[in-house]
Amino acid sequence: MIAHYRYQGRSGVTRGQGEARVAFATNTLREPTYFHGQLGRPLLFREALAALHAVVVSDWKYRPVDRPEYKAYLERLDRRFLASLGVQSQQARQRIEQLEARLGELDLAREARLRPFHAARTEYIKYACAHEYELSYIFDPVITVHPDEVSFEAFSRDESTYARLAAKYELFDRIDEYLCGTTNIDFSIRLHRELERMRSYRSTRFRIDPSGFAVFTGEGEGHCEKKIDLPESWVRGFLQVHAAMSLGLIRVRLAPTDLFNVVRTIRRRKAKVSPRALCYELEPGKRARAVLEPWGESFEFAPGSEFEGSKPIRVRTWGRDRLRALARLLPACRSVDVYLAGMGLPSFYVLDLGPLQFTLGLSGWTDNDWTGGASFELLARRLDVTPASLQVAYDSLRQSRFATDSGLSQATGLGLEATRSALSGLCRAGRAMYDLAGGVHRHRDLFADPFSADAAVKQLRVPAPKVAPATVGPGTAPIAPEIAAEAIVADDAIRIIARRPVAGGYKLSGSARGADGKRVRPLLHVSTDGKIVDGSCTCTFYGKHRLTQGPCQHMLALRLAHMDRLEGGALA
Amino acid sequence: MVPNPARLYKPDDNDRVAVVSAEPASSGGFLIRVARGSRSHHLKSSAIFGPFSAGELPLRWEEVLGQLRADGFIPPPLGDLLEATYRRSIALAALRLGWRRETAAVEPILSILPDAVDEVCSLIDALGMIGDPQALPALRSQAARKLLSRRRSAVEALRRLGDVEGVAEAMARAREQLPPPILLALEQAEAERRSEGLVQAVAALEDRLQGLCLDTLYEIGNSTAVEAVRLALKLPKLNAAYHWRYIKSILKRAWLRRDFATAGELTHAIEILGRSLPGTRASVKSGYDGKVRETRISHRNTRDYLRRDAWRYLRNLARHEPSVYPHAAAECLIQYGPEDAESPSKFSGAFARAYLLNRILWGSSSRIRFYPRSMRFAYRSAKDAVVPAGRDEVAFPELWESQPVAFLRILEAAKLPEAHAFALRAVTERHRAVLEMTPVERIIPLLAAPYEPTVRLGMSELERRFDPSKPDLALIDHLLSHPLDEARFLGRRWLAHSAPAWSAEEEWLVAFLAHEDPEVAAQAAELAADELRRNPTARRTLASRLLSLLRKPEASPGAHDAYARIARDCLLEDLQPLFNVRELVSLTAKGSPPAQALAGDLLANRPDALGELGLSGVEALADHPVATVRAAAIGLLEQAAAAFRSDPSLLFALAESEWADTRSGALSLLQRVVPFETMGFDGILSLLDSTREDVQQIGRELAIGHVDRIDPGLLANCLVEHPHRAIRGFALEMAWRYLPDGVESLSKLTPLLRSALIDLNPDRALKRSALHFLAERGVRDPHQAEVAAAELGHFARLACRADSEAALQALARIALAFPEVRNPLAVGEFG
Repeated sequence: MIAHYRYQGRSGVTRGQGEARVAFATNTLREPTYFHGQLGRPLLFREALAALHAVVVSDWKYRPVDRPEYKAYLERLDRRFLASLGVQSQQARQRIEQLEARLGELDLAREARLRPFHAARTEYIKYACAHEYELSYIFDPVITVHPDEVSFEAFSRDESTYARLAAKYELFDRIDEYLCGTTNIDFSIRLHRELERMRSYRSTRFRIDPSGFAVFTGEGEGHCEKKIDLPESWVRGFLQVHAAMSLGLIRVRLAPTDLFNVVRTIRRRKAKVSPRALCYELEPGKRARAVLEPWGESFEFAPGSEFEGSKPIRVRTWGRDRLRALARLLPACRSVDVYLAGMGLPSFYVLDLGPLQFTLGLSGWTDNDWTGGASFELLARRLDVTPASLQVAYDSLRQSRFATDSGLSQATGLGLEATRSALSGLCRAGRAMYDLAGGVHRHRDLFADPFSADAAVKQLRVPAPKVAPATVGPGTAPIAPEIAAEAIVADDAIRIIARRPVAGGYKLSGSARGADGKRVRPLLHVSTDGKIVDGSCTCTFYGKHRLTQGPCQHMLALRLAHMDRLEGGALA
Repeated sequence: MVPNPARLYKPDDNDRVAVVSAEPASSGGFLIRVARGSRSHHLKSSAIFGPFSAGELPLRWEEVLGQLRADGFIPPPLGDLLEATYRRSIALAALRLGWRRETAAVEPILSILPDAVDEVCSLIDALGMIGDPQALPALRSQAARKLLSRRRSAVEALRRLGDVEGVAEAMARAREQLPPPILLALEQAEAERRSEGLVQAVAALEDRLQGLCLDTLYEIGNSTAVEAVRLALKLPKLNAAYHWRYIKSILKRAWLRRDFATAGELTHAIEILGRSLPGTRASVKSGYDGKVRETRISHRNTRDYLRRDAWRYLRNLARHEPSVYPHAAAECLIQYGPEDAESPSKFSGAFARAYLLNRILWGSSSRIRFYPRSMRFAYRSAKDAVVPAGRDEVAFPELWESQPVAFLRILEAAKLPEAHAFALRAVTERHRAVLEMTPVERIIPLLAAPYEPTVRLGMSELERRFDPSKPDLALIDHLLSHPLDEARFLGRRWLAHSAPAWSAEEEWLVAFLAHEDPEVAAQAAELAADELRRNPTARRTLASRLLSLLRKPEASPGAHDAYARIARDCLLEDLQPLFNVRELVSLTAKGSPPAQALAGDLLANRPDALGELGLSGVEALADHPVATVRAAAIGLLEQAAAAFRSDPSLLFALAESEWADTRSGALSLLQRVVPFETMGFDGILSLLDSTREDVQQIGRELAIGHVDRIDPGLLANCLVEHPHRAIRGFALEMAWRYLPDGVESLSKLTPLLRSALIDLNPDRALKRSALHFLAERGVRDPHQAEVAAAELGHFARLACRADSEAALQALARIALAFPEVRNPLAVGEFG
């Protein structure tokens, strides 16, 4: 997917004696959106944008190092060794040593002679990176102006890290005017450097509008245009993040120094063997602990991190190096809320900076982008949504810009479950987002094209491309788990055995028979507000992958059967 | 030379056969014997004439033959022709007569031509080879026929007879047959003398029309059309239906036309086909009766027939046109390369299946035997695999010796070392003069030969012709532009050796310096640098030449490098008058990078540039990506130093440039030129605010140098907000020294202290002094103690033991000094 960005000006910062202007140029190909105000706490905003930038440019994907020079050196050594085996004469050996010494001298001299060239080449590479890299590779953040906040959303280069910076209106001393909407902003490395010069002793004007700072070309005022090959996975990742957020998550509150201690150790020590997990150990009523593997170094968190759950939980998360992106925010942070979905599943870190909220979403592990592993939307609530209800929910959310599910249900007249399903659908269609810190759904059009409920419903019904190989028998073609789940429901091969109330929700247990004819026992833990907190099954697929590859067909079938009941009002 | 025996024939006599032979006489000289009989093996009577001397023998020989012809004897093929009952026999007889150029056969052939059917082509071919003009009317009528084979033979016969009018008519008819796009492409190709477009046009045609189209183009036969056909024949379609038939047709035309190059390529291609690809079957219209029937296309039998026919053709050439044979054979030989080799076995060499190669190169060898069924050659015994040293086994060696130029053709184009060895031996041992008389264009290809001795021969011959004191500069120029790397390398070597000669000639000097190859130009510049410094006229000429080159866009990245280098090394003074400042600025904006660099050098020596551009123009140049342009801008800024005393804003802007040299220049000016009164507190703060360490360093030096003239407390207040870790230490030091005591200033410092301690890349000394600072301030008054204790409470929880302990100690000190202050830590929290 080629993403077109067209900016009339460039984002930048100008400084005067007592005033500075921060201007973000918006994509003129998107809906008109603007915000003008005066920043009250520019330092905080600066640090948050620095963290956002760190996420945008981060790329932790493993790439094997290709070291041709080193290999050539080894080959040279090898050849020399083999050649030396054949040299018997002492005189010849001495001659070889002399020549090698001379060769070493010449190599050093060559190195010295080429030093300016290497320095110039390095400078050139830096220049090329600064000027070309961002034009081709940096995925500009998505900015949304809401009635209560301005939010910036971005993905890292490796698509494994999601960041959302929400600047509440309390951050601003004065707000002149704004128009709600979603667009992209020009976000360059140069801008990052300029933002570093924001200070509180200068009043800072903050503008988000199409003009930015004018770009001058040879022929006069011009515009800056980017065409970036936006991976489908990047777009799908945006949708998956919000599906993952709407899962029932376990929350732990940390002090900033707690998180700093963990990140500092990760920074200082290099794990050369597996496992390299950051393991959270949570016991009800006790302060949370984290263990860094493989060293087994444990951290007991500060008072306030007591776990409020009902039973001990141990959650291992991977890709912990990505937490280093938060380094700039920790000194300014008040508290950190960690949201955990389960072993190998995404985790979210919500940093409370007062008028700013910074949400960092990490996929299950670094090499697993948000679309590569689990399909979280399968776990998210999903009754069949009609185009009409989707349109009603969209219109209402667009009007109010943000709402809770119950609030929206009242406003639209749709039932609570139907509203939740519609909101889930809108998130999956890129027309809404879930604000984890605020606990509300917000309107956010990820795509420039106008919303069409029919098209969105069609898109929702397309099964995820993910296949679950363990769900099929030998010799049969692999099928998507949700299709298999629908088949189980259609064959009436799923039975809800029990709906047992537990603390904070209820548990569903069922009995299902898959395509292979075996009967298995899926189990779902659903929170009181309808979110799936956990799940398990006795099938092979779950035994092998747990939830890291998404739910198995039996859990999905149980969910669908439960949804049918809810729709019928039997359990609602 | 003793003539071969001649056999004559008289159909209506008892003694039907007469054999004339020559033999040495016992008394010296030669005897001519005439024997007669009913058959050639039953000769009854004989007559002997002579003896004759060797010089007299040919004349007497002809007299005897003339007498026999007068008696009614005729050559045997003619007899066959007149008496044969089978069309195949007639055809073969006619061809034999044609090869012999037997003019007596023209009338008989013309008499049987109207009734001929299958043998028509052979009769026409024979007429063409004999070359008697009385055949022209018949040939013209045949050339107008629709049937391809008849038309082909007749047109080629007319061409051999030199019938301009008849050929022109045939060509006009051929052009009419071409599809319109091909005709258009042909006309265009003829006008441009380039055949690539024509080849593309043919390739774009419908597949079934391509072969016919190529055959028609070959029939037209001008150089453009033939070149296009030869290019198109390299496409891998030879054995496809609708192609194969026309491939054969083109091969036959090439043989008739004596176009050995095309014939050599085709015979080799057909041989490769025979080795690799199977034939196909397709329903095609017969050229014989016009019916569509399923036919074998490119069957092995046909291909083998053609391979044998190629050697038969060469043999006929050797017998009847001996001076031509070596050239035709050489064209066939040069087609073979290492890719034709296969894994040798005990009895089969690597080229066992290379039919024509074996026939030509090892045709007289007794080591090798031919197996017709498999079309393979094999050694008679295993020991025969060893090639006898220094002995040629080539077929018809005497013909090769009579045409030594053919050896050169092999040396310049052959791909096989075996072929090179054969030709090289002949040239070096017996025909060196041929090489010495050959034009240089034919020697250069020897440098790219795949056979080292051939390369050495070519090099030695070229070296022999080269005289550094009187060099052939045209040859050097030719070599320098040659597509072969080896030739260019030699040219560059000669260029270096002959530098004194060409650098004294202005025309050549300019030619080499403005050479299309930038490397050559650079080398020439190095060699001629001294000469250029002495020769102002050459410099001026070259300057204007290079100027025009540099103004054009670069053909490929780096193409202007050498020109710019020459210009920057030697021609700056001469180029200056050719530019005004605006043009130079335009060149910095739109020129190639080397041209921009040159423009930078030129601008640096233009004192008037500052006046014309103004400071804003210079500012733009100072941010230019090319270093010399930036250097020029800095130079211009130095000229405007006085202006910065009152308004240094431009220097402050440039101090933030992304280019280190620009920053360095601007900072240097700021330090040297701008007085403190102009710079003021804001100027120093602006430098300290920078995110670049070199700029911060200057700001720090200025702040320390003028600390008595600025408000250091205010500066410290500002610096604590700096996010850069390099400035934190300085900020803390300033704060410690100059910030007033009190809770207010301590509160302002907390972000800095947190940044220093909660840092993933910390500075240990800074952390220590930050904790010390907090401990010191915490014991001064209860308000500061409260703020310090709150911060220390955070730091006490850090995993770094030294920091944590220092924070705990500080907290203990605060608790002892002010017990009423709330301690953020609880006893036992760390247990």
